[in-house]
Amino acid sequence: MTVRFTTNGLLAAAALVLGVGAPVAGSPYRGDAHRAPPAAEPVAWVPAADGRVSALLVAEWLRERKPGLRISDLRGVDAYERFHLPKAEPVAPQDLLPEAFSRDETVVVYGPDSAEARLAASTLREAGIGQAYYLADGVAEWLTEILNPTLSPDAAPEERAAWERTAELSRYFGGLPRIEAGVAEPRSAAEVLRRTVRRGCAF
Amino acid sequence: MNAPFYEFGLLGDNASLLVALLIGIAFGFFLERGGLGNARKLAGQFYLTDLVVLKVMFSAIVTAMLGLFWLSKLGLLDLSRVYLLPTYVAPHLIGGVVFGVGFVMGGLCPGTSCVAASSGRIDGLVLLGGMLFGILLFNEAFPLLQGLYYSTELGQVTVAELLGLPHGVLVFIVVVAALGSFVLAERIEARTK
Repeated sequence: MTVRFTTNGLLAAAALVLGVGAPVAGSPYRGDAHRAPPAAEPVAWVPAADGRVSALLVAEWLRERKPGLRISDLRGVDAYERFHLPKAEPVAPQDLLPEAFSRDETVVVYGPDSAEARLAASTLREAGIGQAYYLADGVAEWLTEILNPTLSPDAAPEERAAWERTAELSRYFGGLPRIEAGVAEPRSAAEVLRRTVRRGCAF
Repeated sequence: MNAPFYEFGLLGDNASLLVALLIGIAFGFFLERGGLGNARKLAGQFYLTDLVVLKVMFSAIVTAMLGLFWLSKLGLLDLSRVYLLPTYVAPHLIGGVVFGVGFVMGGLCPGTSCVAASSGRIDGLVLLGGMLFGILLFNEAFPLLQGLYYSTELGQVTVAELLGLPHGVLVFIVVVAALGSFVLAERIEARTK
């Protein structure tokens, strides 16, 4: 009896072998090391006592899909439609009520200026939303720190170590981390937005 | 060497665009060569006379899935850096239904309508025009639709995470389902011919 091997049959057999091997191979992810905080947390990676959070920390929360994370954009619908942080919801300041959140949610607020965002976060915290924070410089901070971060080539070793994490986060959100000599001139918000990739696909 | 190349900075912006262009050309070329620029062939899927779409889609899913899984296991790819589109249940369900209705009625999907249009098929050109008009319409109507657009968000989840299954088990299930569907498709096609 002669067994005939067709191309389709061989491909199917290869897929089956690889598929059968998958359950015993374990997780395809490289552990959770990339999500674990570093041993010594720099200030930017933890919320400040007054509830201020950095864009880097918000980006990290978004990337690790922090459960219960809510982001509220207080700048108005027009500004929101032009650009907003991932996952952000447009909310009018007068509509940012504690009843809209549960106590175990993490709320990040940003607005047209630092004072308004700080006041909103503080109001939420006083109403019992313990994890209410504010992104002081809002969208500008996101554009600068996440989508357009820069590092000087003569940065100190500890700055370079921190840079790796920043650059990784930046690329995740479609940013363009740059190492540039001299004082890096940040790109304009419009240019950063123009170069930001809206990802997606269609077949 | 480590992938994704763009995420690790091994490919710059211009090189990435060039690679995207080459992949796009190859994608279109093979869709056309596979006959997927032909609405009659695609419509055969819904009449169960030609199941090439099922075979192409499942082959692509299995190839990409096994490639991603095993390249990650071999240390050549960091899967955590592969971007996941967030899932929005209600908008995706509604979009899927609209997509399906359009697919059956027009005989082409967005990608294959581009392929059909570029090979000069009138139906492809008409569908491409409709698609561009639909995009315009959606953007103009966005203020009315944004409540739905951002509703029922699950975040960046994978099927394995959602079902609480180990990734390897899900890979195995999909491979078996794909191979089973290929066998079934061959039998159905043999009967209808």
